[in-house]
Amino acid sequence: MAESPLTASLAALSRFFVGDGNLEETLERVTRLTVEAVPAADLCGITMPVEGRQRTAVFTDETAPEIDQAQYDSGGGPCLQAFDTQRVVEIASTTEPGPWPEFRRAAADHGIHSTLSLPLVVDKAPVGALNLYSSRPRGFGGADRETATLFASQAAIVLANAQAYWDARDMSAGLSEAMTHRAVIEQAKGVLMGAQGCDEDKAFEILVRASQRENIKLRDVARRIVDTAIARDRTGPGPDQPAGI
Amino acid sequence: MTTASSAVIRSGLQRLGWTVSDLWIAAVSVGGSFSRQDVEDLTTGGRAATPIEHDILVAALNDRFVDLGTNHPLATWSDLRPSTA
Repeated sequence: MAESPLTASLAALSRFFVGDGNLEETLERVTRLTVEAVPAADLCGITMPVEGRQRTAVFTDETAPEIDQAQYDSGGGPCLQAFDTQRVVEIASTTEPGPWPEFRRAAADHGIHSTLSLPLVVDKAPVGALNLYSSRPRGFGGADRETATLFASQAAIVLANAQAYWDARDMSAGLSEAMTHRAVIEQAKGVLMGAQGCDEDKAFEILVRASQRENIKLRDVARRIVDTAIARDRTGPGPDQPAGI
Repeated sequence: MTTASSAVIRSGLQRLGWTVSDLWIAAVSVGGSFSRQDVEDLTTGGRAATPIEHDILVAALNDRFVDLGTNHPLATWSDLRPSTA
Protein backbone atom coordinates (compact mmCIF):
# COMPACT_ATOMS: atom_id res chain seq x y z
CA MET A 1 0.00 0.00 0.00
CA ALA A 2 1.34 3.44 -0.92
CA GLU A 3 2.36 5.73 1.96
CA SER A 4 0.40 8.94 2.49
CA PRO A 5 2.40 12.17 2.04
CA LEU A 6 2.36 12.68 5.80
CA THR A 7 3.54 9.17 6.57
CA ALA A 8 6.29 9.41 3.98
CA SER A 9 7.44 12.81 5.26
CA LEU A 10 7.35 11.72 8.91
CA ALA A 11 9.32 8.62 8.02
CA ALA A 12 11.89 10.76 6.20
CA LEU A 13 12.04 13.08 9.20
CA SER A 14 12.60 10.18 11.60
CA ARG A 15 15.54 9.01 9.48
CA PHE A 16 17.28 12.35 9.79
CA PHE A 17 20.79 12.19 11.09
CA VAL A 18 21.46 15.77 11.98
CA GLY A 19 25.17 15.42 11.26
CA ASP A 20 24.47 14.68 7.60
CA GLY A 21 24.15 18.34 6.79
CA ASN A 22 24.73 21.62 8.55
CA LEU A 23 21.94 23.31 10.46
CA GLU A 24 20.73 25.30 7.46
CA GLU A 25 20.62 22.21 5.27
CA THR A 26 18.68 20.33 7.94
CA LEU A 27 16.18 23.18 8.19
CA GLU A 28 15.78 23.27 4.43
CA ARG A 29 15.03 19.56 4.38
CA VAL A 30 12.39 20.13 7.05
CA THR A 31 10.68 22.81 4.95
CA ARG A 32 10.69 20.63 1.84
CA LEU A 33 9.22 17.69 3.78
CA THR A 34 6.58 20.00 5.23
CA VAL A 35 5.36 21.01 1.78
CA GLU A 36 5.22 17.34 0.81
CA ALA A 37 3.31 16.47 3.99
CA VAL A 38 0.77 19.28 3.63
CA PRO A 39 -0.34 19.39 -0.02
CA ALA A 40 -2.31 22.61 0.52
CA ALA A 41 0.95 24.44 1.17
CA ASP A 42 2.61 26.01 -1.84
CA LEU A 43 5.49 27.53 0.12
CA CYS A 44 7.09 26.98 3.48
CA GLY A 45 9.54 28.94 5.62
CA ILE A 46 10.86 28.84 9.16
CA THR A 47 10.99 31.93 11.33
CA MET A 48 13.64 31.74 14.01
CA PRO A 49 16.03 33.99 15.92
CA VAL A 50 19.23 34.65 14.01
CA GLU A 51 21.83 36.85 15.70
CA GLY A 52 19.19 38.17 18.05
CA ARG A 53 16.57 39.06 15.44
CA GLN A 54 13.68 37.11 14.05
CA ARG A 55 14.02 36.28 10.38
CA THR A 56 12.98 33.67 7.86
CA ALA A 57 16.09 31.58 8.12
CA VAL A 58 15.16 28.96 5.51
CA PHE A 59 12.44 28.65 2.89
CA THR A 60 11.37 26.61 -0.08
CA ASP A 61 10.97 29.66 -2.29
CA GLU A 62 12.31 33.22 -2.25
CA THR A 63 8.73 34.46 -2.04
CA ALA A 64 8.43 33.36 1.60
CA PRO A 65 11.10 35.70 3.03
CA GLU A 66 9.87 38.53 0.79
CA ILE A 67 6.40 38.21 2.33
CA ASP A 68 7.73 37.71 5.85
CA GLN A 69 9.81 40.86 5.66
CA ALA A 70 6.59 42.85 6.01
CA GLN A 71 6.03 41.42 9.47
CA TYR A 72 9.63 41.92 10.56
CA ASP A 73 9.49 45.53 9.36
CA SER A 74 6.14 46.25 11.01
CA GLY A 75 6.88 44.22 14.15
CA GLY A 76 3.86 41.95 13.86
CA GLY A 77 2.52 39.06 11.84
CA PRO A 78 1.31 35.49 12.10
CA CYS A 79 4.76 33.88 12.22
CA LEU A 80 5.92 36.14 15.03
CA GLN A 81 2.63 35.62 16.83
CA ALA A 82 2.95 31.83 16.54
CA PHE A 83 6.49 32.02 17.90
CA ASP A 84 5.61 34.35 20.77
CA THR A 85 2.36 32.70 21.88
CA GLN A 86 3.27 29.11 20.99
CA ARG A 87 -0.13 28.80 19.29
CA VAL A 88 -1.19 28.02 15.75
CA VAL A 89 -2.09 31.21 13.86
CA GLU A 90 -4.07 31.16 10.64
CA ILE A 91 -5.04 33.82 8.15
CA ALA A 92 -7.95 32.39 6.18
CA SER A 93 -7.87 35.13 3.55
CA THR A 94 -5.16 37.73 3.17
CA THR A 95 -7.46 39.94 1.08
CA GLU A 96 -9.97 40.32 3.92
CA PRO A 97 -9.47 42.91 6.66
CA GLY A 98 -7.82 41.73 9.87
CA PRO A 99 -4.71 41.95 12.01
CA TRP A 100 -1.32 42.68 10.43
CA PRO A 101 -2.49 44.58 7.32
CA GLU A 102 1.12 45.07 6.10
CA PHE A 103 1.71 41.33 6.10
CA ARG A 104 -1.66 40.61 4.47
CA ARG A 105 -0.94 43.11 1.73
CA ALA A 106 2.54 41.69 1.07
CA ALA A 107 1.17 38.15 0.94
CA ALA A 108 -1.67 39.07 -1.40
CA ASP A 109 0.74 41.00 -3.63
CA HIS A 110 2.78 37.80 -3.98
CA GLY A 111 -0.28 35.69 -4.79
CA ILE A 112 -0.57 34.14 -1.34
CA HIS A 113 -4.15 34.12 -0.07
CA SER A 114 -4.00 32.08 3.14
CA THR A 115 -1.32 31.25 5.69
CA LEU A 116 -0.83 28.81 8.55
CA SER A 117 1.90 29.40 11.15
CA LEU A 118 2.80 26.72 13.67
CA PRO A 119 5.06 27.10 16.68
CA LEU A 120 8.07 24.83 16.91
CA VAL A 121 8.30 24.08 20.62
CA VAL A 122 10.74 21.95 22.57
CA ASP A 123 10.56 21.62 26.36
CA LYS A 124 7.90 24.35 26.43
CA ALA A 125 10.30 26.80 24.78
CA PRO A 126 9.83 28.16 21.25
CA VAL A 127 12.65 27.37 18.82
CA GLY A 128 10.96 28.74 15.72
CA ALA A 129 7.76 28.92 13.72
CA LEU A 130 6.88 26.84 10.68
CA ASN A 131 5.00 28.94 8.15
CA LEU A 132 2.88 27.54 5.37
CA TYR A 133 1.51 29.62 2.51
CA SER A 134 -1.28 28.76 0.09
CA SER A 135 -2.25 30.48 -3.12
CA ARG A 136 -5.91 29.67 -2.37
CA PRO A 137 -8.14 31.53 0.07
CA ARG A 138 -9.04 29.23 2.99
CA GLY A 139 -6.48 26.86 1.61
CA PHE A 140 -5.93 25.00 4.86
CA GLY A 141 -8.69 22.70 6.04
CA GLY A 142 -9.02 20.87 9.33
CA ALA A 143 -7.03 17.90 8.07
CA ASP A 144 -4.22 20.20 6.89
CA ARG A 145 -4.07 21.85 10.30
CA GLU A 146 -3.91 18.49 12.05
CA THR A 147 -1.24 17.23 9.68
CA ALA A 148 0.81 20.40 9.95
CA THR A 149 0.56 20.40 13.75
CA LEU A 150 1.72 16.81 13.94
CA PHE A 151 4.54 17.49 11.52
CA ALA A 152 5.61 20.63 13.37
CA SER A 153 5.90 18.74 16.67
CA GLN A 154 8.28 16.27 15.05
CA ALA A 155 10.15 18.93 13.13
CA ALA A 156 10.75 20.87 16.36
CA ILE A 157 12.59 17.89 17.82
CA VAL A 158 14.74 17.57 14.70
CA LEU A 159 15.57 21.26 14.87
CA ALA A 160 16.44 21.10 18.56
CA ASN A 161 18.66 18.07 17.97
CA ALA A 162 20.32 19.72 14.99
CA GLN A 163 20.91 22.90 16.98
CA ALA A 164 22.40 20.93 19.88
CA TYR A 165 24.59 18.93 17.52
CA TRP A 166 25.97 21.97 15.74
CA ASP A 167 26.37 23.92 18.97
CA ALA A 168 28.51 21.05 20.25
CA ARG A 169 30.48 20.97 17.00
CA ASP A 170 31.05 24.73 17.15
CA MET A 171 32.11 24.49 20.79
CA SER A 172 34.54 21.71 20.00
CA ALA A 173 36.05 23.73 17.16
CA GLY A 174 36.24 26.79 19.42
CA LEU A 175 38.03 24.86 22.15
CA SER A 176 40.48 23.41 19.66
CA GLU A 177 41.36 26.92 18.47
CA ALA A 178 41.48 28.15 22.07
CA MET A 179 44.09 25.52 22.94
CA THR A 180 46.30 26.81 20.13
CA HIS A 181 46.19 30.39 21.44
CA ARG A 182 46.61 29.20 25.00
CA ALA A 183 49.89 27.48 24.23
CA VAL A 184 51.76 30.68 23.41
CA ILE A 185 50.39 32.39 26.53
CA GLU A 186 51.60 29.51 28.70
CA GLN A 187 55.00 29.69 27.01
CA ALA A 188 55.22 33.45 27.62
CA LYS A 189 54.32 32.98 31.28
CA GLY A 190 57.14 30.48 31.54
CA VAL A 191 59.58 32.94 30.01
CA LEU A 192 58.51 35.66 32.45
CA MET A 193 58.64 33.36 35.47
CA GLY A 194 62.20 32.41 34.54
CA ALA A 195 63.28 35.96 33.76
CA GLN A 196 61.65 37.67 36.73
CA GLY A 197 61.54 34.91 39.32
CA CYS A 198 57.80 35.40 39.76
CA ASP A 199 54.93 32.96 40.10
CA GLU A 200 52.42 32.10 37.38
CA ASP A 201 49.76 34.55 38.55
CA LYS A 202 52.24 37.43 38.58
CA ALA A 203 53.44 36.47 35.10
CA PHE A 204 49.84 36.61 33.88
CA GLU A 205 49.40 40.02 35.48
CA ILE A 206 52.49 41.28 33.63
CA LEU A 207 51.01 40.07 30.36
CA VAL A 208 47.69 41.76 31.13
CA ARG A 209 49.36 45.07 31.97
CA ALA A 210 51.35 45.03 28.73
CA SER A 211 48.20 44.18 26.79
CA GLN A 212 46.34 47.11 28.39
CA ARG A 213 49.22 49.52 27.96
CA GLU A 214 49.64 48.80 24.26
CA ASN A 215 46.00 47.99 23.51
CA ILE A 216 46.84 44.70 21.86
CA LYS A 217 45.58 41.22 22.49
CA LEU A 218 47.12 39.11 25.21
CA ARG A 219 48.27 36.44 22.81
CA ASP A 220 50.04 39.05 20.67
CA VAL A 221 52.00 40.23 23.71
CA ALA A 222 52.75 36.60 24.51
CA ARG A 223 53.87 35.86 20.97
CA ARG A 224 56.30 38.78 21.04
CA ILE A 225 57.76 37.64 24.38
CA VAL A 226 58.25 34.11 23.14
CA ASP A 227 59.73 35.25 19.83
CA THR A 228 62.09 37.61 21.64
CA ALA A 229 63.16 34.86 24.03
CA ILE A 230 63.84 32.51 21.13
CA ALA A 231 65.85 35.17 19.31
CA ARG A 232 67.88 35.89 22.46
CA ASP A 233 68.50 32.23 22.98
CA ARG A 234 69.98 32.04 19.50
CA THR A 235 72.11 35.18 19.77
CA GLY A 236 73.16 34.81 23.41
CA PRO A 237 72.27 36.84 26.54
CA GLY A 238 71.68 40.57 26.13
CA PRO A 239 70.49 43.39 28.42
CA ASP A 240 68.49 42.64 31.56
CA GLN A 241 65.21 43.90 30.12
CA PRO A 242 62.65 41.09 30.30
CA ALA A 243 62.04 39.55 26.92
CA GLY A 244 59.56 41.46 24.78
CA ILE A 245 57.94 43.48 27.58
CA MET B 1 34.52 42.39 45.67
CA THR B 2 32.53 39.40 44.52
CA THR B 3 29.53 41.44 43.49
CA ALA B 4 31.68 43.95 41.65
CA SER B 5 33.58 41.16 39.90
CA SER B 6 30.50 39.36 38.62
CA ALA B 7 28.92 42.69 37.63
CA VAL B 8 31.96 43.58 35.52
CA ILE B 9 31.92 40.17 33.87
CA ARG B 10 28.18 40.28 33.21
CA SER B 11 28.55 43.75 31.77
CA GLY B 12 31.21 42.51 29.36
CA LEU B 13 29.06 39.57 28.30
CA GLN B 14 26.09 41.82 27.64
CA ARG B 15 28.10 44.37 25.68
CA LEU B 16 29.62 41.69 23.49
CA GLY B 17 26.42 39.67 23.16
CA TRP B 18 28.34 36.63 24.38
CA THR B 19 27.00 33.53 26.05
CA VAL B 20 28.64 31.87 29.03
CA SER B 21 29.96 29.22 26.62
CA ASP B 22 31.57 31.93 24.47
CA LEU B 23 33.32 33.31 27.54
CA TRP B 24 34.36 29.85 28.68
CA ILE B 25 36.12 29.14 25.38
CA ALA B 26 37.74 32.58 25.35
CA ALA B 27 38.92 32.10 28.94
CA VAL B 28 40.49 28.76 28.05
CA SER B 29 42.32 30.47 25.20
CA VAL B 30 44.00 32.96 27.57
CA GLY B 31 45.05 30.29 30.04
CA GLY B 32 41.99 29.66 32.22
CA SER B 33 41.37 26.20 33.58
CA PHE B 34 37.70 26.64 34.31
CA SER B 35 34.82 24.31 33.66
CA ARG B 36 31.87 25.88 31.89
CA GLN B 37 29.97 25.67 35.18
CA ASP B 38 32.76 27.59 36.93
CA VAL B 39 32.36 30.41 34.41
CA GLU B 40 28.61 30.42 34.89
CA ASP B 41 28.99 30.55 38.68
CA LEU B 42 31.53 33.37 38.50
CA THR B 43 29.33 35.29 36.09
CA THR B 44 26.17 35.00 38.14
CA GLY B 45 27.98 35.60 41.43
CA GLY B 46 27.16 32.09 42.59
CA ARG B 47 30.79 31.71 43.57
CA ALA B 48 33.34 34.34 44.57
CA ALA B 49 36.09 34.89 42.00
CA THR B 50 39.68 34.86 43.12
CA PRO B 51 41.79 37.74 41.78
CA ILE B 52 43.39 35.57 39.10
CA GLU B 53 40.03 34.08 38.06
CA HIS B 54 38.59 37.55 37.66
CA ASP B 55 41.60 38.74 35.68
CA ILE B 56 41.50 35.76 33.33
CA LEU B 57 37.82 36.26 32.55
CA VAL B 58 38.29 39.99 32.09
CA ALA B 59 41.34 39.42 29.87
CA ALA B 60 39.27 37.09 27.70
CA LEU B 61 36.55 39.72 27.36
CA ASN B 62 38.94 42.64 26.87
CA ASP B 63 40.74 40.75 24.08
CA ARG B 64 37.50 40.74 22.14
CA PHE B 65 37.01 44.45 22.84
CA VAL B 66 40.46 45.03 21.29
CA ASP B 67 39.14 43.40 18.11
CA LEU B 68 36.25 45.86 18.20
CA GLY B 69 38.52 48.86 18.66
CA THR B 70 37.76 49.46 22.33
CA ASN B 71 40.73 49.64 24.67
CA HIS B 72 40.28 47.25 27.59
CA PRO B 73 37.08 48.71 29.07
CA LEU B 74 36.66 46.11 31.81
CA ALA B 75 38.44 46.52 35.13
CA THR B 76 40.99 44.01 36.33
CA TRP B 77 40.90 42.93 39.96
CA SER B 78 43.36 45.56 41.16
CA ASP B 79 41.29 48.27 39.46
CA LEU B 80 37.99 47.21 41.03
CA ARG B 81 36.75 49.63 43.59
CA PRO B 82 35.74 48.04 46.90
CA SER B 83 33.01 50.67 47.20
CA THR B 84 31.24 49.18 44.19
CA ALA B 85 30.99 45.79 45.87
